[in-house]
Amino acid sequence: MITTRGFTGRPGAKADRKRLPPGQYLTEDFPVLSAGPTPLTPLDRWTLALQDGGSLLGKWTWEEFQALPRTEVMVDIHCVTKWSKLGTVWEGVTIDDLLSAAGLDEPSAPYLMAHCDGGYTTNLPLEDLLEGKGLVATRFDGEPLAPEHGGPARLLVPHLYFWKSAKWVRRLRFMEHDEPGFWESLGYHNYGDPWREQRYDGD
Amino acid sequence: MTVIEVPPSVGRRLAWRQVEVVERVAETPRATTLLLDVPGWPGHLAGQHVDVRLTADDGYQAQRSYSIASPPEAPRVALTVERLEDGEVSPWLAGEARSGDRFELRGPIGGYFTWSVAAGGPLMLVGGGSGVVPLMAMLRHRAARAEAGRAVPARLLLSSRSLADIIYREELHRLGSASGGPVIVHTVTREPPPPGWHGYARRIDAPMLAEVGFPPAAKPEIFVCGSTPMVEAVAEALVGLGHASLNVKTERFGATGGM
Amino acid sequence: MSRKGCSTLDGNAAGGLLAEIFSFEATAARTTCAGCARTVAMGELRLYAIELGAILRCPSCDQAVVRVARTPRGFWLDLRGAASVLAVSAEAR
Repeated sequence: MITTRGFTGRPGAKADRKRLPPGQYLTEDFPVLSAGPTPLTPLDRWTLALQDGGSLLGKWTWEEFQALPRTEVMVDIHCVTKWSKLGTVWEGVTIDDLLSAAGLDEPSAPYLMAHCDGGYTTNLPLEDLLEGKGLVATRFDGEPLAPEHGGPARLLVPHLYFWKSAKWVRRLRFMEHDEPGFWESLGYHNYGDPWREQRYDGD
Repeated sequence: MTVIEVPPSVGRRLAWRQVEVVERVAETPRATTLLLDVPGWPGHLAGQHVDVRLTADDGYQAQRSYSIASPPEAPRVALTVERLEDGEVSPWLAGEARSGDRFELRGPIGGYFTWSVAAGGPLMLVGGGSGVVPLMAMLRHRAARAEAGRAVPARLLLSSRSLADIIYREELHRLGSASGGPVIVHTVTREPPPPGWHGYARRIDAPMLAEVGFPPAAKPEIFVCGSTPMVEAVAEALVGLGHASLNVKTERFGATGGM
Repeated sequence: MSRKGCSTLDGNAAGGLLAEIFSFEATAARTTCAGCARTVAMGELRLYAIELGAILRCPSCDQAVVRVARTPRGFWLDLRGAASVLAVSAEAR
C-alpha cells in the first residue's frame, strides 16, 4: 500500500484499541455527514409521532416532549465512514419511556421505521431500541442539539453504526415486517453492528 | 425502475495512479500550485479535475477532488490547491507536499464543465476565489491555441477576498495585456482595494455582470466556478439578464462536511 | 418546514464515482426530477454524502434524483428519483 509522507489525516488521540470496533479510527471532531440539506423545523411546529399502520399511538409537541422523563447517557459512537467518537454525552427520552407515555406496555410490532424531516429513513428491530438501548435525543454535550447534528431531535442508537441514529426524526412507525430504509435499500447492511463490522449488505 | 447493483468490473475506466510532486509554487498565502509527474497521463480538457487520495501510515485514507490548473498543452499536470481552514487534504497539498512526495491520483474527470477552442465562444468566465483554477486552465489553453486575430473573445470576472488573495494575478495581467488577450476584470470583497484600483469592490451582482459580460445576444459559453452561494447568485443573475440557462455551466467548490 | 441548503458541492465532484458506473459522461447528462420535473445537467445536482457514494438532489425541490452507494463489492444505483436521464453526445456538448 502506498502511503503519503507526512499525511496523518485529522488529528486524533491514540485510542485504546479495545474500545474501537474493527476498522475504526478515533476522532476528537464531530464530522457532519448528511444525505440531504439540513431541515430547520421551528420548535413551535415540531411534533413527534408514534404510529402503527394507520393508527396514531402518540403525538407530542415540543413542550409535551420536554415534559417526558429525561435520561442522560455517555456513549461511544461509530460511523460507517470509520470514525469513532468516545464518551459522548446525550440527553433525551428513551424509547421505553416514549412507549410508556403512549400507554403501550409493549411494542405493537417487532420492527420500527424512523421517518425524518427531509425524507431520510432507517429501520430497526424494536429489541435494539428497548431497555435503554435507544433514545430520542435533544441535547448533546450539555447543549441543545445543533441542526447539522440532527437537532431539534434525533434517534440515538449507539450500539449500531451511526447511520441508524437518524437525524431530524419526526415519526416512529411500527412495522410487522422489516423494510429497508434509506441506506439499507442502497447496499448498506440491514442491521449494522460495528463490532461485527456489518457495514454493507452481505457482510 | 428499481435499485440496480453495479459490479465493480463494469466500466472501470479510471484507475488510481501514483504520481510524484516535481515542483511547488506559492501562488498566494493560501494557495499553492503543485507540478506533477503523472506516468501515462492520457491528456485532458480544460475544466476537468482529478481525484486525489492520501494514505496515512495507519492505513487511513482521505480523498478529495481538485481542478487541473494546467492546459492540455502543458508538459506537466498542475494542480492549484487552496488550503481550507478545517481541511484534511488541502493543508497537506498546499502546505506540506514537496518535491519527491508521492500520492495517488485518478483522472481526468468531468465532461460537463469543460471547454476547448473547438467549442467556440465568446467565452465568459466568472470565478470566486479558488474557483479560478479550472477557468485558468481554459484561459491558458486559449492562449496556447490562439492564432493572431482569430482567438475566441474571452472575458474573466474574478472575485477575490483581497488583492493578495488573487490567484495567478501576474499571469492574468500578462494574458490580459497581450494582443488578442482576454479581458480580465477583478473585484475584491473583504478588504478595500488599493488606490488607483481599476476593478470593483463588492460581491458580484447583476449590474456588474451586465457591465462586464457579453450580452445574451452574443450567446457566450459561460462557466461559473466558486462557492455555492456565489455560484447560485451569479447563475441566477445571468439567467435574469437573459442568458440561456443551458449556456451557463456551474461548478461548486467547497469543503466536504465530514472526513 | 423550511430548509437550509448546506451542500457545498455538486455532481461534478462525484464525476470520478459516476465514471465508474456509467459508460457515458454522466455529469453532462440531463436529468429530469421525478418530483418537480426540473431538468438540469447531473453536474448541477446538489451533492450530499460524498463519503458514502453520492446523493444527488434536485436544486429546486431537494428530491434525491440519483442515489449511489459505493461498497467493496460494487455500486448500488437508484435512479427512481429521475423521471429521465438523457445522455449527451460529446459532439452535442
